[in-house]
Amino acid sequence: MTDPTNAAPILQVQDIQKYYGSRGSVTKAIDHISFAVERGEFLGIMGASGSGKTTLLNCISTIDTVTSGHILVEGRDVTALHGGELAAFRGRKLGFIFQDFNLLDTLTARENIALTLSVSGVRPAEIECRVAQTAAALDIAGVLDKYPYQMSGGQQQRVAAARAVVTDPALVLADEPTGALDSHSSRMLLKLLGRLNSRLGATILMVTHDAFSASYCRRILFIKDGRIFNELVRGGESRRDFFGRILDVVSVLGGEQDDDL
Amino acid sequence: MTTCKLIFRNVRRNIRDYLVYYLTLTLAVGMFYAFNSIASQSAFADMSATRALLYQQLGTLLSALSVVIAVVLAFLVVYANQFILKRRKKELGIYLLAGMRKGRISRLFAGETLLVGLLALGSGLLAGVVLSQGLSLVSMRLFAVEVSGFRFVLSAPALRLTVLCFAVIFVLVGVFNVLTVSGVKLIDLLTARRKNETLPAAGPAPVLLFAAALALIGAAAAIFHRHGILPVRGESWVQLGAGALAVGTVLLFYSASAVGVRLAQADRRRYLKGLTAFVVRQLDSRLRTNFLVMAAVCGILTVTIVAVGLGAGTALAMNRAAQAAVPYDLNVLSDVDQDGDTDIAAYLRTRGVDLAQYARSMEQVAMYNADLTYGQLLAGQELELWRMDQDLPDVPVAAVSLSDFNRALAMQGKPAVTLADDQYLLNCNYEGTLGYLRQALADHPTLTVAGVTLHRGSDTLLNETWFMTQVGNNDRGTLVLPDAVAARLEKDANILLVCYREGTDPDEVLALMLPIGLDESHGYRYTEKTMMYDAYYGSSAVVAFLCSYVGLVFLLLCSALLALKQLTETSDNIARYGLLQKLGASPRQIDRAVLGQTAVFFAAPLAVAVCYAAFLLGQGIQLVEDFMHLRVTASAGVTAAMFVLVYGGYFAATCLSCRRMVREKRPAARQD
Repeated sequence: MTDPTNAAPILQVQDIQKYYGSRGSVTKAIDHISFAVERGEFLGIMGASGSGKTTLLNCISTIDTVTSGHILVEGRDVTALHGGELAAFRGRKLGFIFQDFNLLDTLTARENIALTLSVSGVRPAEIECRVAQTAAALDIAGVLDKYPYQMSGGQQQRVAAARAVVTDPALVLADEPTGALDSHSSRMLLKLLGRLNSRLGATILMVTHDAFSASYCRRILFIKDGRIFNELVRGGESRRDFFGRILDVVSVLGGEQDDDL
Repeated sequence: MTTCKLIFRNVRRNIRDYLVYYLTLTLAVGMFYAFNSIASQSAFADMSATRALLYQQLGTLLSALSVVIAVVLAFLVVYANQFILKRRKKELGIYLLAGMRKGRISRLFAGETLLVGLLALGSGLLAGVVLSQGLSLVSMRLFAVEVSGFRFVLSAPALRLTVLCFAVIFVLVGVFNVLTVSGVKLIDLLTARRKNETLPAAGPAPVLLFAAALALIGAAAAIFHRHGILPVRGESWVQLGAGALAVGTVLLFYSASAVGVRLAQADRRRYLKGLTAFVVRQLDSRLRTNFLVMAAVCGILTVTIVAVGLGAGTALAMNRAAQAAVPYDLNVLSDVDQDGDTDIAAYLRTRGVDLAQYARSMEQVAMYNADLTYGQLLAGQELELWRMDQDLPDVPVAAVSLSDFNRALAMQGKPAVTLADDQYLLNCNYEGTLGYLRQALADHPTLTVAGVTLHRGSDTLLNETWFMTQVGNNDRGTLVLPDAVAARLEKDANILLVCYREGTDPDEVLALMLPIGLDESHGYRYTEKTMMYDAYYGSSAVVAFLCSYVGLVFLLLCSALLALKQLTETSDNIARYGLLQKLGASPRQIDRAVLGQTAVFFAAPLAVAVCYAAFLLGQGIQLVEDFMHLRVTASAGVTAAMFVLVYGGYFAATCLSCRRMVREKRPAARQD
């Protein structure tokens, strides 16, 4: 691939701020955050409730607007996009993985996956081809014509993942994807994300408050009170060791917040 | 915050949810008032006896009907209210969580119902007053009352009845709400989120079912076509047909969407474009869960279209007939076969009726049977006669002598026609044969009547009303002959034409004539102007009124039902639209998806109903034509106007509400 954007970071967040409220009482949800995500990264964003991590994700996913600063995806400033461009941008460049899969239960797996492509106007012939490829990569070719209620939980997860990556998005966004899952399903989903990252080369940005989930990432940003507090990179160490380091940071984060431990 | 304040705030904030509820109430109140207020229009006070009787009957019928309709409306209002409750379950739960006592919540909800009810009652009555003035004007036309007597009227009895009726309905709704609130469990309320669509399993072989549905409907059509739509004693064909139609319709709505999905999928290119797949699947699941409602709505719509189309059509046809000039006040026709060739006025004097007392002018003319039939006269033409004229070709052509014809014209103040001794003329004023007679005149430069060869006296067909018949003024074609020729023909009937003196009371004359008309031993039959108006136009007005009243209520029922179903399901599906948004669907795509679903949901039962109605209307028209000897064309205009107003209004309101609901849940729109 000789893509000129290849060298540049996929995502550049440049000094963004997000304020809520009116002149009288301003809440700074995001307070001067900057970072970059390289192609093929699996980045985690951790923070307690109210730290601003979900607001950050919403701004990146263009669901919310920033008060100041810029967000560049593949070198393109998304804060300057409007209306139809915005919808098209979401459809082509972003993939979403939700807490409860959010499959449309009136549609078959195939149609669920195809929907993302069809709303952004991909040719039908190409749609069928890409759906088949992605399904094969995620081992769900056999359930493509089933409805969500006819599938197991694991299969539903994989269909949702397929939907997120079928457009070959620049960035896959996952907002607390394991929040509503039991530990077994959580582990399955996280492994799946790891596989999307390593096998399909997807760039993933996951927001979580759960140290176990975060330990699957390659790099973690810690956010507190709207600012970046710390950064951890998992080098060659095992996931278990990385998990330990994460817990250390979390305890520092929490220790400052409440002193009851 | 006081309960009162909360009530006002809630109503204001939930105004969107209340839109359909409010619309339904307003329309219901308005219609109820308007139809019940007709009796108060003072212009109807000075109507003739026959008409007054019919009018009274209409009043009685309407108020009896109003009881039934009030019950229907009550159900509708309670149903609409249920939708609002459902939409606000979470809010209710929060009140409970906040520690508000159930009694207070009940008061809150009852108060809201009352407030919206009062508002709707107010605007409904306002609409009703306006509507009733229009209705009065229409009914005056229908009852042929002088419009100059029209006055703006506020009907106290109708007002009382309306307020009473809806007060009862509001109390019902209030009680229902209080019962609902006190019966709820907190846990259910807080988890009353999007319920997952429970997809009914795809039925066995939808294509087969669809074919079966079409076969059943086809069979029903064949049965109705062969055996008519009126049940015959001792035969059960019609019942069988109705059964087949009902089952077929239910099957149709059950299977059609599955077939639709297959068709849509067959066109891969379309199916995978934009949100098509989503819309098709949503509709499929919706139609399949609601197939019974759809079938019921389709049935009611069919009845509505037939009732309104036929009722309005009949009334309009009557009106058209009434508008044709009625040149005499009284005709007495005497059958020569039965009574001999008599002087009618003299006979009437022997029966104690001295018409000279009432008459300004009076003439007796004779009608002859020419020695040729209409079939011979119209030979060479391809005839497509109206149903009631099928036997016309075998009937001898009517004829009148020139002097009789001219005397009749003179009574109307019209100039006489001239005719040489070897000439003939043709007169016709019946729409069903006019064209053929015109052609016949062109076809016959000469005509042999009673052995005399006559030449065409004029190239134009006369268009006079020289005597009145029972039904309108229908002269299907009369030869005007020189007196000498006419005298050679067999006399069919003597006709006495009478024009009243100024100030004559028609009811007085009618009272005298009544026993003569009923006398079976003689063939004297009379046609009186006011009686003709009253009997036909009066009864047709009653029919038209009842039809449109029932039709409007049914229409309201269907529209509100569909609107509420659609709103409920859109609010259940809000989360899906949020998801689509994240998947990259543009606001326009989503708006179109919502619009498309609503449109199909509203159009599906209507389309089927229109097909049914088109067929049934044809049958109904035949019945009416045979029964009333009147040419009726279904009034598509009136029916369509009503549908556009009510059905269209609900469709628009539903679209707006749905769009708002979906937009509400959209991620914060970017400020451009």
